[in-house]
Amino acid sequence: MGSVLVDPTGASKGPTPGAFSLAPRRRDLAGTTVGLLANTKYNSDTLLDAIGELLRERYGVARLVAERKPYFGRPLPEEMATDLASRCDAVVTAIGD
Amino acid sequence: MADGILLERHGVPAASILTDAFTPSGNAMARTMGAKGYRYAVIPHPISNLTAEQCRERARAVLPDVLEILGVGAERPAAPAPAPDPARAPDEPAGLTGERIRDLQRIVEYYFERGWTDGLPVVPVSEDTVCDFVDYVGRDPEEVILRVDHLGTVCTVRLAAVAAAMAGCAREHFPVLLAVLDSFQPSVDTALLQSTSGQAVMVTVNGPIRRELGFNSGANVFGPGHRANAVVGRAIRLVVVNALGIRSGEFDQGTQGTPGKYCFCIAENEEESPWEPLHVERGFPAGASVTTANFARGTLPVDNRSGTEPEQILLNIADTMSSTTASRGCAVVMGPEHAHLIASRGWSKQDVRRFLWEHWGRRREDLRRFGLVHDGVTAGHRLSAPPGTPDEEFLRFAESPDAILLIVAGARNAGMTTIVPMIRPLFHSRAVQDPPRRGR
Repeated sequence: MGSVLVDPTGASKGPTPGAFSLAPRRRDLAGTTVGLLANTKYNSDTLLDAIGELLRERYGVARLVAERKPYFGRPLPEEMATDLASRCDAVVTAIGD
Repeated sequence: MADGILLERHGVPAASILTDAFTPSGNAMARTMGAKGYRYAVIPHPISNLTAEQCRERARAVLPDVLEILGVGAERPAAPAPAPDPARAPDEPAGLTGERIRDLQRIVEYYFERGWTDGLPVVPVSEDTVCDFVDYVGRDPEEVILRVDHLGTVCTVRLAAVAAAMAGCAREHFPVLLAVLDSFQPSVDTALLQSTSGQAVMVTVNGPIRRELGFNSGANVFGPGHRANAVVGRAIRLVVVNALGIRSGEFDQGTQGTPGKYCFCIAENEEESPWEPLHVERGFPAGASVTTANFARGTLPVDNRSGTEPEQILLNIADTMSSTTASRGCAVVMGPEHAHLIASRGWSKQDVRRFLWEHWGRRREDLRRFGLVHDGVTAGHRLSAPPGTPDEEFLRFAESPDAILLIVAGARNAGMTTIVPMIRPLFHSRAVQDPPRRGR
């Protein structure tokens, strides 16, 4: 492998995210708080509200926390993620259009 | 998707719901965030024009997947599925040195100094490359395919090959360029290449050659990132600049021009179109590969994600077509989502073109208000509005629905259509000739 040509891509030089593992799951949602994170695109909140209602009716979810991210084109701000994580046992999020 | 992964990293189980049109972006995001194979739930696209009741139906349908992703009722959560590794990068060409690269850069600079480019670097071309291209198509290199009599310039097969190679074409792209150049009507078309209206040559590619050469017909169809579209579009400009001698500020008198003059080549998304493709509509067999070239003043977006009736979408499109700036022809490049909504109610391509044509125009008083009416005719449009025509009369901008090219292209991820206005309805289709060696 030669290395005379300079690699123009940014990703290869970027910080590699740490190893990923899923957050611990709960087998039962009864009595939990579930976050509903809409991405602000039209109808994403309507869809999530409907899912929230079903979770409450059929799976005994105690509380729903509906949030909208500030702008659909960027990831959730760190402080919002921390906040949601501290208040919720699980989160459902939707990408609309 | 990114948010779901972020929340998992914060220790909260998350279920992301994507519409099916966004699954490629979702997979790429998971990869980028180091969570390759991260599971998400998928619902049919789109949701933005659904009623509340339809949203509830989608919610009921997707709920089992959401629960499964959240691990509800499961013995143990499913681990992310391993995704295949991306293909290994090719090796760098052998024998490269800093000195050899500096040589190449000097050659690129030389092309700039000679004024032989469109403003971007070109690929250096020697006689062997030209022979290879000409040999591939099996045509006489001195055959004249385009001439501008008033400038005394011609484009031969050989000069077209030079332009193609400089633009970055492989020889397999060359027959597509030739089809476009062969389709021109020299006296009319070459005059438009010099016009103050600044029109670009837009090309639409149809048929199997789209897949064979990798023409993009989907996401970002007017945008960058796809070699076939980019090099064929660019080669046309290099023919205009070098072979025909029509350079910016000299014989190209475009007042402002358009970025489309760098390159403006799309392919029709035949796979996601509910209608017969453009080339079939224009009389070619479905299995033929065909280019359709037209002059283009630019692109006007129609962003309508909430309309639920064909008439709403089409009136929105006709309204955008009816900008008072002179256009007596139009390419309507409809996104697959609009096309499907309209076709699902039984509209044919012909129905769509007729409806658009009927609603494409302005009341004479609008044109008068903008100072576009002189001596009883409307400037630019050259519409016949004899003296005494009432001001409230609706003047159609085109003579028939044939002034509209209807093409389906783009991604099926949002309700979007693009209008490409032309000064007049001038477009030509031509079959791409199979190179003699290949046969088919």
